[in-house]
Amino acid sequence: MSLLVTQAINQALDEVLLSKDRSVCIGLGINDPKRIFNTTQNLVEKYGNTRVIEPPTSENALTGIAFGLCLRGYSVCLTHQRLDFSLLSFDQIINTISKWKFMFGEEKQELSCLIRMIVGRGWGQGPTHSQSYHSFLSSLPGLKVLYPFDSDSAYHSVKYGMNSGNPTVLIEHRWLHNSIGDLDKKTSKNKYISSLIKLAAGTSITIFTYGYMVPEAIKATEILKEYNISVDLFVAVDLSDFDLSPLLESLNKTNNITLIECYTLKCSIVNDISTKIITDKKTRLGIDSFNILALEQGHESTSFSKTKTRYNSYIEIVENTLRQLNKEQIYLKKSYYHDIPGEWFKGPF
Amino acid sequence: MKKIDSDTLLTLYESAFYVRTVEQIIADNYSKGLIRCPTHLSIGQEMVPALVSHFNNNNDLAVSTHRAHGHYLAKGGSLPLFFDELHGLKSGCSAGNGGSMHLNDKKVGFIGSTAIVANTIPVGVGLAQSLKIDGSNNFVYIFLGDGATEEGVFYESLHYAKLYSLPCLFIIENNEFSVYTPIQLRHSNELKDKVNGFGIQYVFNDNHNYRSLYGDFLKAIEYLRNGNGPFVFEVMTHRHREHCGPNYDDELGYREKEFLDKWESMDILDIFMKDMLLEGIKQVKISNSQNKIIERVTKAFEDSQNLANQIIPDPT
Ligand SMILES: Cc1ncc(C[n+]2csc(CCOP(=O)(O)OP(=O)(O)O)c2C)c(N)n1
Repeated sequence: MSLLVTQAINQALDEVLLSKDRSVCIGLGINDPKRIFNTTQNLVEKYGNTRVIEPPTSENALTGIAFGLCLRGYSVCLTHQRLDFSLLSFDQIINTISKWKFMFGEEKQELSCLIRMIVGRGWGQGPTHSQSYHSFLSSLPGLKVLYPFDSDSAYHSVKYGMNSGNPTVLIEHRWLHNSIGDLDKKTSKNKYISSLIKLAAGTSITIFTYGYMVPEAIKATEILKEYNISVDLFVAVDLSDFDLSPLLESLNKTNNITLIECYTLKCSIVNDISTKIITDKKTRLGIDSFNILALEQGHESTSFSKTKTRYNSYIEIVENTLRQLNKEQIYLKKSYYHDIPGEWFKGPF
Repeated sequence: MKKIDSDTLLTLYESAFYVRTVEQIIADNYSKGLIRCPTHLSIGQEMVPALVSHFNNNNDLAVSTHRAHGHYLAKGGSLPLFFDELHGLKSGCSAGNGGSMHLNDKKVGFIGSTAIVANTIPVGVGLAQSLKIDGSNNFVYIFLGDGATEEGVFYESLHYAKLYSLPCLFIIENNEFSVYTPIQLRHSNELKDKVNGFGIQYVFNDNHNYRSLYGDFLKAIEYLRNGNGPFVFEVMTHRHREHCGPNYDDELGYREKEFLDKWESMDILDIFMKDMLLEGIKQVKISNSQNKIIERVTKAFEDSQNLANQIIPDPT
């Protein structure tokens, strides 16, 4: 069954609301004509506005309120149309939600609190509509941070957040919303948790990425294949915790690695992985080349010209890999409009 | 009610017409794809800017929101720098980094507008505290929408401003919608009661009654300059177009036809126009003013657009 990422999220929420009477969705725009980029389509019609709640603009309070419901056994999904808006609620996320179980010595308590944070990009999203502090969030004990890259991982991430009993942040990239993919409901429901996913097997180079860079890495892998470069491609959905050993094993075989970050490098997931690689003596000694792609440190501008080189795409991955392996460069034509993911995106958000 | 003389009336109209013309030219050109940032227009909400412009003093400061064009222009913010900002040019008022939602022009006291709802409210209070410590008799305009009154920081700011008697003029432009959501679904009691609960002066204005708001400005400004503490205006108004972007979106049906018709019949430019003619202001005089404004705005816009065109070629 092929679905858009937005449809996969919608379906997962629908199934949770249907199967659990004690579940609630809250979010600005949840019942408005746009339905949070269509992800909450038909929910209020089916489950009513006591369970599908269009709230006032009060992010910090809403987060505590969502959590209070969870303490009484409700599964709650709170959605922010931009991660930037959730920043108002970091008090509740950090001082309450991430440490509640710990603070009260009740590690087994079931607290299914899912906070969806949509990350913006392009069309001048700029300094207050494109921030992505998933790496920082993933450093918080007691909080699961999931960053899906396709319909299947989005579906299972929502399900995890609403059923696992662990407070979860879902990082949802706006540019992935319209990507289409198959949904495999039969896969183990925890397939994305605490582990890396291997998306391609190869021997020339190991590549790690996650989130919106995954489709770019897949495309780059396909192009490189035509030039006899095979990529061992690993991706993570669970940014809080994953077993790195498959990646280290791969690197011991390829001796070349590129780590691709979705945001800036400082205090990032990728820096964390780098540290782990470097501290693994066997792996460290065998490395021929080591590369990182990330956004340049600094706030994002709204300006078209100033953002031209901010983001990486499959093109940078290909160019980078060829350089890294001392191969001749190939010419790939860049789209002139770097600030839209495709014709479907007409702005403004 | 204080009588507004005909010269003042014409200036009020000119200020409103200026904001409308600027917004209109943005709306007309947005689809060319040269303004590539989320843009919240103030078309329909020009009454407050018109009055602010009339009472403007560059030493009074202002902060605002995502929908700040009218406030920026009312404070006298530079028009070329504004258009350059919307076009993402380095020459823009925020060096192209901010776009429509992050404007500033320190020269005229427009300190900044930002896009996180309620974000600048406490910043405005801090500005006011600095004025008070300095012993200045200036004050700070804090512009916000009805949606922003739902954030906790609004109440913390009112509380603080009252506690220290700070010179803040909170102006809430209530257009009854937060994006697509009507105020009835978001509020269960009147802002008036909440503000009065803090012991803060409060004025309500409805039906684009600019004459009474004019009197309220006179009263509030005197109150603020005399160091009596904060003041709140809640002004009912109407955005004609979609929440963000250049189009109408009434086909979505989230605003009742009756509601739209009511506000259509209270368009502030029409109200000013009717009153100017009643006052005996000659049509040619009005047309002259309009033409000058259109000429100035068009020239500034075209200059900026030409610069943008060199960077972003026409997609067609
Ligand atoms: C903290 C935060 N939450 C949500 C948003 C999304 N948002 C942008 S504008 C807006 C509505 C604000 O309504 P109001 O304050 O009445 O201003 P108006 O748009 O009507 O001028 C919302 C919810 C945001 N920008 N910041």
